[in-house]
Amino acid sequence: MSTVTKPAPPGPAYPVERSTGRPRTPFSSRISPTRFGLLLVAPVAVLLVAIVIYPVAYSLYLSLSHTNPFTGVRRFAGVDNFQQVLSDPDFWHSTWLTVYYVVCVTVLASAVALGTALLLRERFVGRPVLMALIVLPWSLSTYAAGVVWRYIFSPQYGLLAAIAQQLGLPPLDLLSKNTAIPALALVHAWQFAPLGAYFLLASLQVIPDDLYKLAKVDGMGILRRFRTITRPYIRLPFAIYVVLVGGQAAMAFDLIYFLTSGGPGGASQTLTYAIYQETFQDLSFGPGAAMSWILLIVVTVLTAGYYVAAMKPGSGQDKAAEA
Amino acid sequence: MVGTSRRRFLKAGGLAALAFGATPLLQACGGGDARPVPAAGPPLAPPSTGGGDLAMRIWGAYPDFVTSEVAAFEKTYGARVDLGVIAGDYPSLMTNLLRQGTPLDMVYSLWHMPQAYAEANWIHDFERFWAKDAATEEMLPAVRDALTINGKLIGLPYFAFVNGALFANTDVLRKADLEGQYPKTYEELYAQVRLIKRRGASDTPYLPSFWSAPGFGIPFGFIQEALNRNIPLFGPGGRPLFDEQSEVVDMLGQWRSLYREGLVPPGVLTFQESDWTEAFAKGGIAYSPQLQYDIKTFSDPQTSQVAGKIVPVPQQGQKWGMLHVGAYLIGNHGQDDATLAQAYGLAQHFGYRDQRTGRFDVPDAWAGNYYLTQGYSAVNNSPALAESVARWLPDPETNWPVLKDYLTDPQVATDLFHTTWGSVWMTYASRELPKAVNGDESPAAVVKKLRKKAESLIDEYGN
Repeated sequence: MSTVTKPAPPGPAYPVERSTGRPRTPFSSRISPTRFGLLLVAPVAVLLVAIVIYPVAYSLYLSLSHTNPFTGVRRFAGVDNFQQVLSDPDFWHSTWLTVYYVVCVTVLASAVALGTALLLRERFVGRPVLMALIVLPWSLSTYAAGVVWRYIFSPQYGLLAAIAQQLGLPPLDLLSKNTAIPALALVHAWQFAPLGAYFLLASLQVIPDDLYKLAKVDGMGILRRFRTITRPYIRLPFAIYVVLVGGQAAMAFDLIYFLTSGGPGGASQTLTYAIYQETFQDLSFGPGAAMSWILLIVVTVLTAGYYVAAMKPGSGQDKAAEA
Repeated sequence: MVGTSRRRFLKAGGLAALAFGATPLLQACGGGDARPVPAAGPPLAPPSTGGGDLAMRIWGAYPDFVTSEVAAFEKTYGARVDLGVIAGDYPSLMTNLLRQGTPLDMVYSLWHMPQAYAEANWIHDFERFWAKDAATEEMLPAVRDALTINGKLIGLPYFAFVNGALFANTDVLRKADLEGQYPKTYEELYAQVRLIKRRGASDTPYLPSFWSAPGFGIPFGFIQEALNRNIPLFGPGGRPLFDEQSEVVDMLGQWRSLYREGLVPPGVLTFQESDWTEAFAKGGIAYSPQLQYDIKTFSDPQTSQVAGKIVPVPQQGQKWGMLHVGAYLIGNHGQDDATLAQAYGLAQHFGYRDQRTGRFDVPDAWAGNYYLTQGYSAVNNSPALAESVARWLPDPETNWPVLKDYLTDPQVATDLFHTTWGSVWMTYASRELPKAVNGDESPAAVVKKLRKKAESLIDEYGN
């Protein structure tokens, strides 16, 4: 009877502690990959619950409650707060101002972003400097932007007032009731357009120059070249940017707070500013939360609708290739 | 295996979320934000030993000075003070910090807020402050009344000055040939600004600072002008005494005329506080109601192009402006008596005679360095302050008595400011009043809405 020595089982190449006499299996190997993955995402899941789901759920609760922190009253209100908000003319005024503001910001910012991106796609002297300069508004904090633009808008000591004075014109008050929203939108677009310009420029730079050369040979004018070559390439990033800028404009608060405080007389009191006043100044948490939910629903529906419409199938980079 | 794991994970996550959210939700359903009533008791003794951690929150006025005084307090009393400056909408942010039960020992507040804080038990009163009787004895009567809620002292004065003290630019008056001919009433003031414009001495001769955008802007202007004109606005418990037949409708009509005729600077309805001072300091404006302490800013050539030309308009029968009081409050976060005593000590250092020196060290410094007048006549009428003011005020022999007169017997808006809902009404008024000025709505319609709002707030909050 011969003794057969069994070969050693395959094991780790690195030294293994043998304090228990058995090789230690790593924890990740003792549970299924799915469980291990779930464990890894658990901290993020907890964080999301804490900072997203809980506040959202709590604001829903507040929107369905009568709450007064000073008197200590808290009771279920059903949809009273929503009814109260929807029957308030000030709410509809703020809604109209929000729509007006979003349209102004989106149109201005998108136009400037697209124009800047198209300009920066060209090769010219000073292009790198210009590329660096246009990012400046984006890099400024909103507070700093607000301070700068207060000095530009001020009819007393502002830049525009000084120019008007030089031209012999009366001082301009761009933050008056009729011009407050467009003026605020101008500042917002000024700050947000550089992001769009970079966003679009990245897409423009992947368009082969040959396409434009061939189009020129075919006798296409500049507008047609834009429509048939450029537009399909930037359609997706442009749609994303418009959704971004539109959503951001709908939620704008800080610029309005710094420049007009919602005035004069509510002339720039968009929904977010109204929510701030209702919730944090008046401590009317119920109506404030109800307004927030209405705003959330409207913004979600509009942006999703726009995005779906803008991304209808049948148009895309294939068309560019066809062109 | 995989499906089961995910399902179990989500189930567990959902339960965890529910548990996480349930506690505050259940709390919310049951109680509210009101805190337990602070324990009453005999006056505390000043802390004999050092130590203690205190949290102090302020708005951003001269933080370097406050920091140095906090350091002096820490050094003298051996306490540690966590000083924080709150930027932005201080009243709203502070209200929410107190509501959440943030452990704050001493905070700044304007005097129209503590009533609500006291109702909700978010602050301690000063009934157990060892020097309460002595401090109230020395306070200006109007300041003592402003800081006394339901018979209890709720804070020590941080400042007391007149909001809407009327200042004149003598340069413009001289050009209009009106030097020394100061108005005695608002009617005379408005007639004179029209005359100044007609005479070409100024395009916009009147700057009503308090038409501006922030919440403490135009409602304060409305209240103080009505007070000065002796138009009743609010009665006990905040009961509104005005309606569409009230003289305030005519007052708003006069504001509308000033705006329409271009007698006030364009953009005044969206001014921020810095704009009021910069616009007046630039020159070309004849009259402006301002914060009383800003006369020092206007007299400083570093910050004013009209230094030496800005004087306070004497009160000749009718008052100009109303009392404005800032307070040091003590937050109620369930602290023990020892910590409360430390907080009282900090409040005393800042808002009364320092416990060890027995002098108004910090109040004197505020008044002397910044002309931030105080709630104590001993500070406001001190020879040291007179000497300090004489260094920058034009013609101090004439103008110093005028400035002192503003604080002698100022008018106060106690009936509104001592309601729980006063700040809510003022936020609403800050949205509505500009509509009467710029013509969006008639003055009568705005006044009607303001009354209705006050009535609805009384319904909600009670008197």
